[in-house]
Amino acid sequence: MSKKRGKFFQKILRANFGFKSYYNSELVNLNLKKWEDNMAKDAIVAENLTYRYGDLTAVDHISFAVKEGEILGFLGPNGAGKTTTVKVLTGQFLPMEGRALILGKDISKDREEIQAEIGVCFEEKNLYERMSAVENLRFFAQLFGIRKFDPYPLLKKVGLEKREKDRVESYSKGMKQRLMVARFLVNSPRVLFLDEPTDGLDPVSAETIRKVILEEREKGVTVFLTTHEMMEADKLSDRVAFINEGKIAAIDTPENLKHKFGRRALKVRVREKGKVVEKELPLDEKKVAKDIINLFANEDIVTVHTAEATLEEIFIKITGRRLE
Amino acid sequence: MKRAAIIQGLMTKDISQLFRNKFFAYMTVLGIVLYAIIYYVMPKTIDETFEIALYAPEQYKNILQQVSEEEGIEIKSFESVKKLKEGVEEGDFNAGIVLPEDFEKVLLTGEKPKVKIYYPPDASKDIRRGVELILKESAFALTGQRLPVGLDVEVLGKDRAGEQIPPRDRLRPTLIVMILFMELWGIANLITEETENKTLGAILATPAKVSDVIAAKGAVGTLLAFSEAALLAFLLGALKGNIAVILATLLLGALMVTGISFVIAAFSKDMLIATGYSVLGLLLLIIPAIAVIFPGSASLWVRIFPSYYLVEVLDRMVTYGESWVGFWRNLVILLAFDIAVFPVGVLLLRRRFR
Repeated sequence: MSKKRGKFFQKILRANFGFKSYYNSELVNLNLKKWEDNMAKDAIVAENLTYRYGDLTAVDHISFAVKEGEILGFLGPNGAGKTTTVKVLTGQFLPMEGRALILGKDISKDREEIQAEIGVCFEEKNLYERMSAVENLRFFAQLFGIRKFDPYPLLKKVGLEKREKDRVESYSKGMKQRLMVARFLVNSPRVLFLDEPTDGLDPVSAETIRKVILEEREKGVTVFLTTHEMMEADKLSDRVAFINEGKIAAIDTPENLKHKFGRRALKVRVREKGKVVEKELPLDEKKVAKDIINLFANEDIVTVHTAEATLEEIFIKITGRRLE
Repeated sequence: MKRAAIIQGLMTKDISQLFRNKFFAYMTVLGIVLYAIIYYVMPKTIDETFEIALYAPEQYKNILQQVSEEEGIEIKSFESVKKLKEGVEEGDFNAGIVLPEDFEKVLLTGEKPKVKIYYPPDASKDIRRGVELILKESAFALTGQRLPVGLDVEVLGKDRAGEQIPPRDRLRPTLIVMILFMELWGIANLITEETENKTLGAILATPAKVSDVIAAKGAVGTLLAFSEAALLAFLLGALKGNIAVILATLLLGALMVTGISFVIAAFSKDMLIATGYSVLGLLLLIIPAIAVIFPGSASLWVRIFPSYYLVEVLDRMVTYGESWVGFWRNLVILLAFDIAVFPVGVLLLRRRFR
């Protein structure tokens, strides 16, 4: 904290709150730090963000914020507005209404500066297929103005170090997607936008990508992850936002959403007159302990397991639509 | 500096992408080699076979026919002087001979009837001498003595006696512009491939702008079209005389091709459509170049094609060694077309990219 900035803050306090000569400089500096920390924490801010294709409003006045180092899962069915939101947030489309701030900068005004600090992974495999992995990465490094670029650590990270000089057209779908992941890390971004990064991939490739995402988060990178894969969102996201018909229907941590909209229950399969039947005991009811004791005392139990609402069930409950 | 580095990166990538496209690479190399082979395989000498168009009163036709057969000359009779002149001007005949209707009547009065001889612009002196020889032979066959006639000679178009052009040299400007126009396909496809494969989105998610992408495509397209045309011109021995102006003309042609390919790419959803439009564009632009091979066949309507002005300058400078000064208007028209088509192409492409 510089003395100059401290004095500036003191001046504001004096002007607005009547502080005169008796202010406590330590307290002022502490408050200022808290204030700066809070301001710095939002890596992505969307305010009333809107985008239309002709008469169709694909993104309809949405507002949300993603903190630095946070993974936000942006969930919705196909055509809900996920990809359009990514395109607006990454400066490929300009917002028609509202604004988007990335790392505190307005995408409509500072597109170039923002794009130098973000990484984007597209849903489509948009690689130069007649070029090798090394050539693809070097080309994008050049677009980011990186002069001395070594592609090999990135290729190793995504497991492509042994095929680095082969043309991309000879790669499998999973390998191409892993190269896309390496590509979005070329400029060591502070914010990542990932559009369905593991969609339709083999388990090994999908796991490699999830691992990279979590590693980046550990480094403090903010991740905006769009997907319609509920399990993935649940595994990776700190918070999830449900988008439906261009609007945000809910945004919270997966646990909170499950708590608010889901139900907890105990599913017990018991044998009755030679047949196996399933019984459900809601866990949020007051007499649940008594019911469980009765069940275990009086029934021939086959299996017992807890039933927790999935994000998909919650999405359907909130929007009335399936995630597909 | 930063922009220049981005554009340079995009250009390097574009050139590598183009030459890794097997079809494009084969077409380009094959085009240059094949056109060079066509040129060198064609005869470098002039065909001296006589073919003469004749308009004459009925009684003289057979006599002239008989004499010419003895001399190994082909004669074709015409029913009108107008059609005869058209045939001679288009280069179908080495000469046209017109005997007046009152030929015999004038001859009997002891006066010299006027025989009209029409030559195409490039009729050689040998051919002219040959035609006069036929007339003398015919006179001898008719009267047993030298024919007392007056010859009225007219060259249709500009008289190019002594500067006859072998067919392969006449073909040279056509081959050069054909390799230039082939780039329509190359550039239009390069751009369309970027949108069809969605790689453009990946580029635009970096600090690169739409204007950088268009600048790189324009530079690569113009550079490639110009280099290929200049290389072929060199291989065909067309870089002679005022080389700077010939190269400047080729550069204007390359800019024209790039501008048109921008427009084609802006209207092409995929590479198949881009190929279709490019072939159509190539066929239209090549019309004036074909007309050069058949002198006299070019009508006024050919001038609606911007390529006409390019082909004419190249033809006059390369084929006939004329000065560009007589064709400065063509260069201005070409430049004006480039200045007009480039912004339109850029504007349409920007709209397409967005």
